[in-house]
Amino acid sequence: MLKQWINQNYLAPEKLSQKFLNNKPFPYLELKDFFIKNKLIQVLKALSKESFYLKDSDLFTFFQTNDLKSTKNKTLHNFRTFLKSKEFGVYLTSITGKNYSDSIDCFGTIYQDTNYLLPHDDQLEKRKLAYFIYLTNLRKQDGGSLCLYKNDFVAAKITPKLNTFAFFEVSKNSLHEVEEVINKRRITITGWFYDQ
Amino acid sequence: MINKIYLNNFEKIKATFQKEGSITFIDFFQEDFFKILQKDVETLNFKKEKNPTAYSYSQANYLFRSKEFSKFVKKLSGRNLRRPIAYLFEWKDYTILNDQIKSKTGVDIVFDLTEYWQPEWGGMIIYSDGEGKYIQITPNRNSLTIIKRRGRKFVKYLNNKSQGRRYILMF
Repeated sequence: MLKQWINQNYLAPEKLSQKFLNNKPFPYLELKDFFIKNKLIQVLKALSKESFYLKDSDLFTFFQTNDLKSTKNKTLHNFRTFLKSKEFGVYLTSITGKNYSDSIDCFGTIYQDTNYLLPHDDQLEKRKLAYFIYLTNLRKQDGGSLCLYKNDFVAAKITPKLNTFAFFEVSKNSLHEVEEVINKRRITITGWFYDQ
Repeated sequence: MINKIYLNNFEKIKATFQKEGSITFIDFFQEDFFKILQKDVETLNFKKEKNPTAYSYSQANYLFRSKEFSKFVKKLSGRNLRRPIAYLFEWKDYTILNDQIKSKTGVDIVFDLTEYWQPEWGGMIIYSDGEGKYIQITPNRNSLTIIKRRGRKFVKYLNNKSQGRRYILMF
């Protein structure tokens, strides 16, 4: 199943492990052109037909679908099934060294102009790995970058590019934010992998 | 210096505050007094304060003494006036609800000097009682809000549409 979804350049995950573990300020990876592009475009098309709901609090404003496990769309259903598959779980384990349960969270999100997510660490219950699948291209000046903090300062930035797959290890150190988006739309599929 | 309407209707106002737990006075000070106060605050030497997981704003000390104002607040809410702190909020500023800090119940006194504002720019002060109920103070020039605190509060992130600066005094 890996070959059906992932770009062949990424089929040997062991090579990525060192990079993941050594990245600063905490273990993360940004993998460009990760999925087979045509398939991801189909996912994006399907996602645009889902319903998005406003999420608004002291920490954030953005729009999000329900967990895609409830989708009636076949393309999205298949994509989510792949993400939570044993095969993909083992693939991630060989990068991160951690084992994951077979349940995941998986949402579509849209950040419109002025939407943002302030710095926080994501620690909740058994969340182990936070992931982001970028479905739009943004430039630095458009905002929407994922910023990873070391203490009170931004130590690394991931600028959204269509077909980038990014993930980081959730811990008390994994302080991160999504910069406010300016005059653009930032679309992702995002969620968490869990401890067994 | 306080708008005469409020002095002349004090008993009604007090009854409303006691019933509702919060009250906002529009055009609280007489206009000429407000203009002097506003100019004073806008020219303070603000210092940026930032802790990414809790707040981002600028702050300055301000000396404000007025027997008339102290008396008004004390009679209405029972609270003694403290020396105010002036806050300046601009694009990218915010405060968040913080689980670590359980603010004691008490009375908040917030005076707003923001000249022109749209709610969709952010910057509202939002009081949460922790049970899904919210009270929102929207920026409004020359307005005073007195509110019995039941939970915690935050200032909504000021986004890229916000034009100008949001000034408040917290007593």
